[in-house]
Amino acid sequence: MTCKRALRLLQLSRPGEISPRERRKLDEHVLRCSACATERKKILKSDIRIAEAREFVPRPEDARELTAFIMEAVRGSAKEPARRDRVPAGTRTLFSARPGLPVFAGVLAVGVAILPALMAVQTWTVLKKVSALEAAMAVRGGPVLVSRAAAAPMTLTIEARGGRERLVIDKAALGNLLQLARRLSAEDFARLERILDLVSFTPWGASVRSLSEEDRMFLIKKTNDLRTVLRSRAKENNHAIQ
Amino acid sequence: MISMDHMDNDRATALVARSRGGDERAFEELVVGHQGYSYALAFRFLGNPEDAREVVQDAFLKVWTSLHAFDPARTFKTWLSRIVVNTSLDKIRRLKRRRTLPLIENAAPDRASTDPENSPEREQARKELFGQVLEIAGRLPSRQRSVFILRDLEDLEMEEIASVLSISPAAVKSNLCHARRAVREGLLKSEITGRFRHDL
Repeated sequence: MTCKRALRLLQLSRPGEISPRERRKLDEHVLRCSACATERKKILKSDIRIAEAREFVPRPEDARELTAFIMEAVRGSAKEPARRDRVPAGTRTLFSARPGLPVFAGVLAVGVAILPALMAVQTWTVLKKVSALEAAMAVRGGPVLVSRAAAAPMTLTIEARGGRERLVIDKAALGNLLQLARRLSAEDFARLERILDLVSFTPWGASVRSLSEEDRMFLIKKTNDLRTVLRSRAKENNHAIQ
Repeated sequence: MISMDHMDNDRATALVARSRGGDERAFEELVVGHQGYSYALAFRFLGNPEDAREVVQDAFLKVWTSLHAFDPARTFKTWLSRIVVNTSLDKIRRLKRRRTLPLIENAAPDRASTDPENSPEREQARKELFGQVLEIAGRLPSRQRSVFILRDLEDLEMEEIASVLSISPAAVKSNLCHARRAVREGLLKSEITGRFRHDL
């Protein structure tokens, strides 16, 4: 084992973080290497400090008041929780009403209206929608950050936060597409889902996929890259792209 | 130490099922059973009580509006953790800041006790150390910070963290390595600086 490898494994110092075999090799290395042995001592010392920090568990000053605070928001939000025919709103499924950009709404409305005709060439539909996004982004001069307060339905936006880009798609804007998706055969449905990389369809709604997919989106800095990604994905799936 | 409130997953799943039907009392029980854990988790990301409260409120609101999306095959705690982590990160991004010094003065301690291990002095020392660790962790990229907080402060298992963050176990390890190295170096530096100041 090299020192570089040993130093990496030393960071994974808590039980269960490395395999018994790795642990054994690491121990053997540390016995022979004084530099790594010194490093291990430092790490053990800092582990004690981190464990001490872990012992401090912040608590709300008034738990009852916090419960009331939460329930007040819940009661104010809706009469009842969302059902399966509503838009998933948890984690990073981004269907809450979002800020609107009229240009997006217009472009999207046209796109959605002609969608049934385009379904014969599903991949083209996907690229067309993305192109509409790109066009809208070009008008805005790049990714757009929109405040949540200015929420409006019928939007399809790119939102940049903390250097990341992500799609925010409103259910209403995709309503027709969803209707269509429900009527697709299982095979076509799966194909559509594979190609439309960023948006996941379910029988009751559509959602932007969460964290891991957001990583991919993080790589998509330029809109051209977005198209490239979609093209390469489609190629992988042996779908012709127009 | 995990601050998870004591509610087993079966109970939580049953409450989710009742809440789906619009039973606010069931949902309130779910809130009471998990708000402490959620608050501690949010606080560890945000470092101050006000932001933590807001995040917890937002997170439970998301839980309420997306109860249908809960998969009973997974644990409620994992699902909730994911929502709290994402809401915390969103909040941090919205605030467009990286925490420099957590305002932990108003954080109520976990428990009051006459046990010497939990004496006020000991608790104060922990709190200061906690503040130092949060400050260092607050400078990490969000994924590393999330992994570090979930593993070293929340004490979640590696697989659980992978599930909460929707990343592979290998990515958890890799991020944990980077995060720990940075936190350890930061602690060492602060220790040296502290000694230097003391010597002055």
